[in-house]
Amino acid sequence: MPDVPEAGDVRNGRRADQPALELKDIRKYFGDLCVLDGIDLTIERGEVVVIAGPSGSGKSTLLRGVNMLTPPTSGEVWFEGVRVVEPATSRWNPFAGRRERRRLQELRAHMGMVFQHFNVFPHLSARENVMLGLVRVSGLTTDEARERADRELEAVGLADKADASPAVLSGGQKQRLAIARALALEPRLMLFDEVTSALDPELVGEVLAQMRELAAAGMTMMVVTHEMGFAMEVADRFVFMDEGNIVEQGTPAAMMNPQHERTRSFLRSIQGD
Amino acid sequence: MDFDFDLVLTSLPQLLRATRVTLGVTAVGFFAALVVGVILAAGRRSRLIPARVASFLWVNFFRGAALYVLVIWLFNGVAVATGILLPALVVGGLTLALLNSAYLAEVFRAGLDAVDEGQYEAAQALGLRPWDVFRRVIAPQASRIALPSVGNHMIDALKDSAILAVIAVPELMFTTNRIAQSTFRPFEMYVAAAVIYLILVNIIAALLRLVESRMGIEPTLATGTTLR
Amino acid sequence: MIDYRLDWGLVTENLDRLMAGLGLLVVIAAFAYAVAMTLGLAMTLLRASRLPILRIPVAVVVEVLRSIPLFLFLFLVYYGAPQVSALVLTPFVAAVAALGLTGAAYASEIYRGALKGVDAGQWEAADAIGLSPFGRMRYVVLPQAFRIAIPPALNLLVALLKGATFVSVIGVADMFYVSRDISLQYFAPFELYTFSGMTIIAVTLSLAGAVAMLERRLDRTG
Ligand SMILES: Nc1ncnc2c1ncn2[C@@H]1O[C@H](COP(=O)(O)OP(=O)(O)O)[C@@H](O)[C@H]1O
Ligand SMILES: [Mg+2]
Repeated sequence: MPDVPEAGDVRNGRRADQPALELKDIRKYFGDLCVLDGIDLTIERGEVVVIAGPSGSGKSTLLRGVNMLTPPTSGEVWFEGVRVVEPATSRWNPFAGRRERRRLQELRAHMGMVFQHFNVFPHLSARENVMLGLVRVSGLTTDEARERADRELEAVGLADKADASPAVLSGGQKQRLAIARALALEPRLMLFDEVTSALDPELVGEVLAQMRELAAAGMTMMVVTHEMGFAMEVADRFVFMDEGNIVEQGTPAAMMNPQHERTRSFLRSIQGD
Repeated sequence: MDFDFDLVLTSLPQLLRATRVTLGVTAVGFFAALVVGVILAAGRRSRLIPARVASFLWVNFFRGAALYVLVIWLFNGVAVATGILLPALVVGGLTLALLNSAYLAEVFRAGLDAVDEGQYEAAQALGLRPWDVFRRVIAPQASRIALPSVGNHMIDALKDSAILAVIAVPELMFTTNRIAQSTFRPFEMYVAAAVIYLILVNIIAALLRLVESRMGIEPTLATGTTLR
Repeated sequence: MIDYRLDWGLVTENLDRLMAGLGLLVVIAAFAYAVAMTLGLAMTLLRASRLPILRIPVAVVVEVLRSIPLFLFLFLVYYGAPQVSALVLTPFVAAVAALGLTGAAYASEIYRGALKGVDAGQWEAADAIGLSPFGRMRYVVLPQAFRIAIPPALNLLVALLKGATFVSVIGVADMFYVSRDISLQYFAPFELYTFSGMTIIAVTLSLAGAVAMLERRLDRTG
């Protein structure tokens, strides 16, 4: 019988031999527009991969393809040896894709995502933002979740803001809250999409510090960023994308002398500002 | 011009009893409309074609209908043709519910549309089930946005309930008519009823402001959405 | 169940009377609309007045008219007015008056909202280029306010038409009056009310649809 891994295997860590993430020939079209043109990428456990490239090159689409927020048109996504599939939908059958949807929810809980615009829940306090996933996804009791949430908030330096509404938090604090919310579910892969781009310059440092700490702790990370200094420092590998393709990849050191003109001109352009 | 104030005073107990009916039928009809309105709003955004078509037809039919037309059609036309003779109070509440469910569906739909797309994405990325995404993340934000409109529609429903007098629901307008006819003092009676409606509208408006400030929303001045 | 036989022939035989009744509804709504839009403008100007003696009573009247049910106000005008004044109104005039006055209160809010909706920067810019207060109104504010007012003003017409549906309660011989009249004679309430109900819903829906379409077009070109 073929070995078809179930989501439960991920939880039980039975696929420890598999890479954290494997993307095979990922393509994405928006109508006729080709945004991802056959991406192959493997990320090992504990690896920090930084993805850079000009605006519109498909970085966000690739990242959002991993957890199916934007399902790819074709290609395969494997998370720790488990295939991540887009649930089937039907315009007529409300039950279509029910099993796949459940499974995707379970997989998503193991992949944390942090967004450019924070997307913290404005109607919940900082603590409740973190508790929501703990209670509704991880199945903790309210008391356990509260305790756990407070620890997560403390870890990102927001212990004193637990009862605060996101409305009164600074951009940097909101983003750290978003990180705590994701980390609370104990993800084994973190996806960061330009998480400092919407921040005032003086607030960028506190968020990068949090990410640096996370990288040092051995988290597997896929990071889209234009912060080259940070990228050179934490990245194990550097992936450069343009027009839906991976143009070049290598260690940060190798990226000091890129082979491709497009990589060079991109690096020049972001050093310019 | 002499204003028979004594008549108003002596009829006041009857008017107040009738006011209870007005409030009761409005509250029941409106509450039912809230529930159905949420379902319809979800239906209009559903990916399921039958749900979308059904809620589209429901909403647009009842948005086009006037309460008077619907209530006499149900009470005189449909009841007679089908032989299902429901009490006037039930038909009245049902009519209020049907009409307002359509208005509220549009209000909730606008509220849902106003919630940032990023909120859905963040909730989904956490692995929340669709129901939890709606119940814990989207609905609370959408209802805050919808609240002022809901308050205004409640005032509309209260004013609309006066029309139920035509099917003899013993509410404020019906009772006022009855006393006005038997005493030949329509002016006093209609002014008295007008004052009661004025007070009720202002009570709802004040309650709305209270809830709004509790929820940290800018309080609004509600008098209804449009001419009723 | 009572044996109720559908007899749509009653509708077709009386189509002329029913349509005349529908025409009467439209005429009432149209007259009331004219009253509402003119009187509403006057109310808006009075409410903008610096004199409290003009401003406050008008504001109170607008508030009261917007707070009481139109249905009640119709009875107050038709039955109440003759009791306290020499005014004896025909049902038609009472209907136009009640709808027109209530409509005016809403129209006045629409005008006010439209003026408020014009960005304060526009008023300042008009002053900055040296326009007189009249020039500012005529060439800068009103053209923009007009645009804002169009959709709600047309929606008021739809609301007046819906409001006009119950004028038969004071004896206006409209489509519903005719429907009741015929059903009482021949006992066919289902057919007649279904027909008149569907007709008026079709009219209001197409009117509302046209307004929504116009609104979308204004949004796009605006
Ligand atoms: N939902 C969408 N519909 C249509 N086009 C889209 C959508 N999302 C992204 N795109 C297009 O796909 C391309 C890549 O977008 P994106 O992945 O966001 O790039 P990046 O993150 O590298 O800036 C862009 O040209 C963008 O306009
Ligand atoms: Mg992007």
